Amino acid sequence: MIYIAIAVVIFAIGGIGIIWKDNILLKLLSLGIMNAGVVALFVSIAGLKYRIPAILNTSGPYADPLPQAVIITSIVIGFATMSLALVFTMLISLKKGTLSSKKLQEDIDREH
Amino acid sequence: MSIDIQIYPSLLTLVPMLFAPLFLLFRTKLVQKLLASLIIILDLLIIYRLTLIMPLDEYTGGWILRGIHLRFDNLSLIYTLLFVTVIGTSWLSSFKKNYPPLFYFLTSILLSTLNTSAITLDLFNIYVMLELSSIIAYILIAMKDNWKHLWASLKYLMISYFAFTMYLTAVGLIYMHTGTLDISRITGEIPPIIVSMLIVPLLLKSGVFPVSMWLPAAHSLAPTEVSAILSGSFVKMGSIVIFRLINTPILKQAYTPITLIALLSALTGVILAYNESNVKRILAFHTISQMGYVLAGGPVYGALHAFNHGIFKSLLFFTVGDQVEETGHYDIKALKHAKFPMHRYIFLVIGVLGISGVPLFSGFISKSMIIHHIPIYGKVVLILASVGTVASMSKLVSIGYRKSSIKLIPHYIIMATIIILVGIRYIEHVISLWTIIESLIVIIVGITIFLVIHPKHIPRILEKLDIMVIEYMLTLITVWAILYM
Repeated sequence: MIYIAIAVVIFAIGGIGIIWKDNILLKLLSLGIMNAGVVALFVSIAGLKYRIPAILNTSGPYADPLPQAVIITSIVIGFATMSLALVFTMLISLKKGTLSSKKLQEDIDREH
Repeated sequence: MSIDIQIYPSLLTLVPMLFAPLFLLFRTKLVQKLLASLIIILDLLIIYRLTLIMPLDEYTGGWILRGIHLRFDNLSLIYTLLFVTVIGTSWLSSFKKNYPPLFYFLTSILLSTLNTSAITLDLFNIYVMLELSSIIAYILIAMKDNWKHLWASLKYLMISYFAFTMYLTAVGLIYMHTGTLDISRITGEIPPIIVSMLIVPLLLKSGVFPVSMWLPAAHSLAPTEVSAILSGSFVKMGSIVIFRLINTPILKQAYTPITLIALLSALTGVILAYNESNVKRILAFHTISQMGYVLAGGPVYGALHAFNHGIFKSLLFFTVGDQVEETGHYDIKALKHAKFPMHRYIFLVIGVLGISGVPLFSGFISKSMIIHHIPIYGKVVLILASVGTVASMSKLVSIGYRKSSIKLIPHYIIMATIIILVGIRYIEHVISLWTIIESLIVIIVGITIFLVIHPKHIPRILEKLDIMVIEYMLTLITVWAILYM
């Protein structure tokens, strides 16, 4: 249960970071932290009943392998999304010269 | 070679996915056109073949009760037809313009993910489709490579990544509680907090009011065809998953908060649209409002409205978007100087008649059905929203037209034909003295409002990124609280 609590705390730290920080890069970093919280949550769910990993030469009862299979997909998707976000951030900073989300929002409201 | 009929549902996913890379390999215009039409025709054939033996269940790889559970039923039929139509007509429109092969590659994969979302019953599979389609949408929105588009896209990326992370957590917790990810086999009580964590991301994807203020900037900045694809098909993805969940323990008694949010969205969307002067943003706010109708309508009438909305909203985005691209003006005052050419204006009016719910057009059918099957408080709100729809759509019509040579534009004609055909074919189900009087009153009051009340500029506070996260959290807590009571 303690692992689940830790995972929730990590998740919350990430969420607060997205709201509080103005710089886009820091916001993205917070998103990454949040995703790490979810990964931790899944792994602790998998090990809730049994702890032994499902590998051939160990004997059961095994930890549930499905959450781990699920989370690998999610890590890959997270990687793709994060790379795309970083590319966008790079292009914005090249074209606009700022990473402040406040300033970008003000400018887009004025011009569009 | 014959293919076992049992695996036809998964072909809906596989065909566009497998053909997509060919768009990048063969870059000549002719081959791109051939490939696009091949995908559309194959998809329509598969759908036709499946309608003969509906409903059909498939477990991928033949792993009964273990593989991903796919089901093709009435709901899937409506949605897959919509997705194929919208993406097919957008391709038709895009061939006249200078789109890179990447556009066809991405939209082809988007079609595959949308089709999958219409047939899958697996919560994790839905997560993958939600994320994959969103990633494609980010790229499509930012394709113009201008900082505005990049920022609109990045805002959407962050809020939806935040939301889908939560969705994934909910899926994990549901698995912990029930031991299955198959929607049709979930049993037992699910705690309210998990339910709200599961459905609020889906609401964000559907584009209803408090959670999807990413939508106006993204849908209005995107190129014409991308706007049509996003508003016509992409936002429908969340609604189909919600409809799938209705008869399961997840949403059994819990449809009330969704209805409330949907009604709020239907009304707020038109108020924001009425006070907006950017034409594409007007249409984007209408998407927010119409998705409210869809979710308030439930799996039968709502799905029908989702289809109708997809068709007329794409037509509106095609006509208005082409006009904006031709003149370079977004503002309604500037467009009044340029005016629509005659051949475009006619189709704009058909789209507007559809969305306003005028008899003989498709919007009338589904709107009357929804209004007549909802509790009385919902009726009042939805009729008010219809009045607002007419009022803000009058702004578009008031731009006016100029004489021009008649041009036949195939994708306009296809969409307009569907609007009128659906409107005439199903009119017997809803026609009565009361519905006709109702729609006439709505139109008259709407036009009066347009003539009397002048729109005011509303500051766009709600579209800031940090405010969006707070809106999201508040919605989550509200849904939780309503479910808990």
